[in-house]
Amino acid sequence: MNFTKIKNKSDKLVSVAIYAFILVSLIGCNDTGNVQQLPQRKYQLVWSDEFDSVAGASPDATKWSFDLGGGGWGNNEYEVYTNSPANASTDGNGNLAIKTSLPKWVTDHWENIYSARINTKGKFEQAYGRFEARIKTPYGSGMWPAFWLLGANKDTIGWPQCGEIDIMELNGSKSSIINGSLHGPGYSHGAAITKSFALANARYNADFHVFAIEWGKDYIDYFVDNVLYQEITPTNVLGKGDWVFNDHPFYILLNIAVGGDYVTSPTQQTPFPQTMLVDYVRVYKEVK
Amino acid sequence: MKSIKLYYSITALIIVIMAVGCERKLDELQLATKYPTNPDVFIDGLNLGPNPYNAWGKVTNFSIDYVEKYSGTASMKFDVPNLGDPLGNAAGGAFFTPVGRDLSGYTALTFWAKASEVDTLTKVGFGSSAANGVTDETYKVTVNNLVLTTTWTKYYIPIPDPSKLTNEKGMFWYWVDPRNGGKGFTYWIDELKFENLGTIAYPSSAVFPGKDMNVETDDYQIPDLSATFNLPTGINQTETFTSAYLTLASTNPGVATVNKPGKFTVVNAGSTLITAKLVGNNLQGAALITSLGAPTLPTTALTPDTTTYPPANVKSIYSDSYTNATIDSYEPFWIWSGGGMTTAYSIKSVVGNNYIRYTNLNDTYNQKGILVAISFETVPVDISAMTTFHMDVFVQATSPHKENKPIIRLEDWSQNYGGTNSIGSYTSSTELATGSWVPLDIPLSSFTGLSGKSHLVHIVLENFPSIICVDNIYFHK
Repeated sequence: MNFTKIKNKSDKLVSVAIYAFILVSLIGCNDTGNVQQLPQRKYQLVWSDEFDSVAGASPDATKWSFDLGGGGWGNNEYEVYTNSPANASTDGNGNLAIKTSLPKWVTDHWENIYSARINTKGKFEQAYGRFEARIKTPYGSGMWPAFWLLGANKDTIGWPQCGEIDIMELNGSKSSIINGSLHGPGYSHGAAITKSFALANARYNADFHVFAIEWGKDYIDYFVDNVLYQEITPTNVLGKGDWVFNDHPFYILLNIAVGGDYVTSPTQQTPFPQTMLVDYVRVYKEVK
Repeated sequence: MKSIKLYYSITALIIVIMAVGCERKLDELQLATKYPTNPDVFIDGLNLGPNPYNAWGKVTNFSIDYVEKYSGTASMKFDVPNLGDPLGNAAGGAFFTPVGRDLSGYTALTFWAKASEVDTLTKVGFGSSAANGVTDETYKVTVNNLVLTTTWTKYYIPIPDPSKLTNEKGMFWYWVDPRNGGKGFTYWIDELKFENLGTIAYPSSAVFPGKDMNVETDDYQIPDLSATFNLPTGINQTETFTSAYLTLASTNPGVATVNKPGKFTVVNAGSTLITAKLVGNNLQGAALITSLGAPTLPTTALTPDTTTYPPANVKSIYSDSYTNATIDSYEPFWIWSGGGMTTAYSIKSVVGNNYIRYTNLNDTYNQKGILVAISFETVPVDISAMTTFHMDVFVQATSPHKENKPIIRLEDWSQNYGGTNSIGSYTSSTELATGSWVPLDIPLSSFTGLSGKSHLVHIVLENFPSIICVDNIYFHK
């Protein structure tokens, strides 16, 4: 078996083999001597953004588009998305920084919450493979950062028929928990298939973590820092709806939402402004 | 820095010798953990020791409830009385251990709590103890206005610098006033304990120890500080804590030394930088201290002419010759500056006569210098029958700030309690002489704007030199 370790970003890599065995180190097992047995898969890098531009540069327009505006985005969210470098730009240290504005507290709520949401729709779309990003999350009640995928056929068949794969989303009121979720017809919104992964006595926003899925025919495996914590298969949606993840490509989204159905409203005690740092986004294809 | 190391080394040496009595090489010495590290305060009963509790306000406010609880078999129950309860208007108390605990391995005091209605805990924290009758609030921490709901919720009180708490007796304290129209309520606390949490983050604090200061040789206590922590729940929470949590250093120990918690001692004329940091929380600040050296104090005292002004014709604020008002504060800088002032005061004595000495009189917040107020809001003074204001002032010749066209303001609440809608202001046309007591005798008619006189609450001194002594503050007719 091949145990080639995933390299960090300073070594550009063309292919990797994922650990066949990964130590379970954080959650789900108190016995640190146990090992996690994973199927061996070989991947080849096909697309990435390392965000190595100078400070203040907007995201690479050949790879990313902006979603703009407010209106709640289907979840009663509070933010308004802009394409300003103030809300999304590289930081000069090899990261993309998605930043909220410093809003104004008026009587009992925040006004002028600006943020950014970027996507690869029409620029990069793929079915199957490994999608990963190295992210330092924002924090604070009301924050809802996410790294996720939407079906590229959304405009023709609609949501949730197009499918949605949430590789990482975080409720800022729970600083040590992220969720990996799957939305489709009959299992969307609050009924989505979901599982959380908690850090033991630490916060996600304190450091970078690698969030990934490995996706193939009839399975999606969810990882945090290369620990597999959830596998979703058609069995999980049986009796709820169709498995819509075997026949069309998906595109990538990165954003910070603020407020909305998934999280609490930001309070006067919410620390603004907030930043999500994305070290890289990399997408691989499996090679047999 | 050398003096600090030496101090700790000596302490360590003494502790080690007392504790184990064996020989060790000096450079191997460390502060030995000799106090228990038990984190529990209340789980299903008080996990403390004999005589663990002092109550304040209505002293029967605390009991143990075996019905209502978050987990286990019992919780702490606190009954906040109604305003006007003859047994006490508030619920307060402190829980402590007879022997100190080593809490340096923990980052926060945590507990679960609920209340009979959505209501507010006025003050709650740790670091206040009265074990064996000895009050110790060296490492007191306070969260103000903690809102409880009617469901069990977890709360957090971060430790500003755990490394300081190697021998702490104060496990938990609280003071709760009835808020909702003076109506009392009940609240419960359970699973009260110290925890080592990695989920408290991003402390921020005002720069400390404060503003740059012109001082004299003396002891200086750094005021309480506040810091804001982001809790595991994502919210920011601000707490206040004593300056004893700061690790202080002086760049020039010949001018000032820093070997007491939260204090520095200026020993000589010159300049030094006092740096302060919260270890483990990456917060630091500094203030430049410029010392004038030893103070020049009055060598004589003035005494009122009690024959001309017998006590019946006087309302006294501060004088050895009369019965005085109840003074709440000699330097209520919070009224004026939002914490920007560095004024210090002391009560001194010459030839058996007490007087008030102000140093570093300045209002850095308003950037106009030199402001102090004597406050007696709790018991306002009625000067309706009086005709004249009197005060003796001694200006130190070496006072660094020379602005010297004194303004005196009298503030009265008789027309709007809690608001200062009657302010009488007097501005001197001449500068004060230095180096000797100057008696001021000013007719109340010279205080323009003074409409009410029955509820005098503040005497404000403005545009005085920065080092003054005052005495015999009274009104007469």
